[in-house]
Amino acid sequence: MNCDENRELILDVVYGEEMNSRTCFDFFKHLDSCPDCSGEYKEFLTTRETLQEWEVEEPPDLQVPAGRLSKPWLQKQPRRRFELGSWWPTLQKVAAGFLILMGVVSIFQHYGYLGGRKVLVSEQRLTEMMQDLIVVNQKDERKLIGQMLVHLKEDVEFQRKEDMQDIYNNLVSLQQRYNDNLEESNRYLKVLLER
Amino acid sequence: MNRSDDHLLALALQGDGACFGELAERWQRRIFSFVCRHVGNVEEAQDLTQDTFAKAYQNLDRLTDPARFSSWLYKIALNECRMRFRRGRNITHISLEKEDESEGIDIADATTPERHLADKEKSLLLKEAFQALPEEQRSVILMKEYQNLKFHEISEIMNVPLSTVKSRMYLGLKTLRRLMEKKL
Repeated sequence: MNCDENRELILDVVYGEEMNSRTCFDFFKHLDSCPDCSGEYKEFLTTRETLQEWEVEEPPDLQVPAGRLSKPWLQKQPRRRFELGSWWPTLQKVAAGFLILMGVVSIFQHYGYLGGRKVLVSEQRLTEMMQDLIVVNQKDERKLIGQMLVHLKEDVEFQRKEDMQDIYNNLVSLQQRYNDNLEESNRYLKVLLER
Repeated sequence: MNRSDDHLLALALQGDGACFGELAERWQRRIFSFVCRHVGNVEEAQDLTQDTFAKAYQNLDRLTDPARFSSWLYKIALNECRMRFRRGRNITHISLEKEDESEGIDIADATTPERHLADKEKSLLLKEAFQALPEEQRSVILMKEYQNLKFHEISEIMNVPLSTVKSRMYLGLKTLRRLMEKKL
């Protein structure tokens, strides 16, 4: 057995793992002849001895009489487990708090304490404001009607001018035709007279 | 009546919570000592041990092979420790109360005060050295040294090859020895 093979087995021997008796014999035979491996083996044994000196405290639950140890693991649920019962009352409280807060904020806003416009006015002031509003509206309407009448007048005058022009043109045309007819009549009369 | 673990487990698998409670009582010391050494904090170890058994009880139907109950339980405990490590990587717990309480020396104790203090100091050094080890090496040493598990059982719990377990153990013990020598 060489040092590498010995090193592979060292932990099995130190911790008493199941091992073939022949392999075990070879292992210790190698240790007798190899100071390095022997030193390493002793080192592991010393380390084990040191490790065995580490005692841990027992939890309080384990120090009470056995009768009181009944199922502490089952009595407590895991801390991080999602459960309907755990968050529902909290959610209800949060929702109620939120609604109350919203109500208070609305009241403050209504009275103008949170930067909102104050809407409280007296009845007389409100009437005046309404009258002003009506007067302003009436003025606008009157102005609009006046403008519409002016436009209508302009339209009528324009239409009238066009009609007069047509009549004039027709009269001129009639006069022209009358003159033409008269000339032709005279020409016929003249021809007849000559005959 | 002293029933075997297998019997209790069979009844627990049929829905008998009391049997699981009895089983938990039998295993709680071992799981607690493993978790306590792993995290290095008693209060947290209590919580994690409780979580381990609560999780085991809730997932009992997932235990495919009842013969491997202990490995399964250690696996859950190890996962809980790892999850705690991830959650509180930067948190160092110092329990002053416990330290103060432990300062009191029992007169009835056969050991001398000097010996008691030396033991306490050694335990503290070991605890610090363990916390300085990589988590994989620490877990292997704790399972082997203090839980007396076989290497193949550790391999199964940690879901790594046997050779990996042995190499972690080898390196871990070497590092631990070096750290202890440095501190002493």
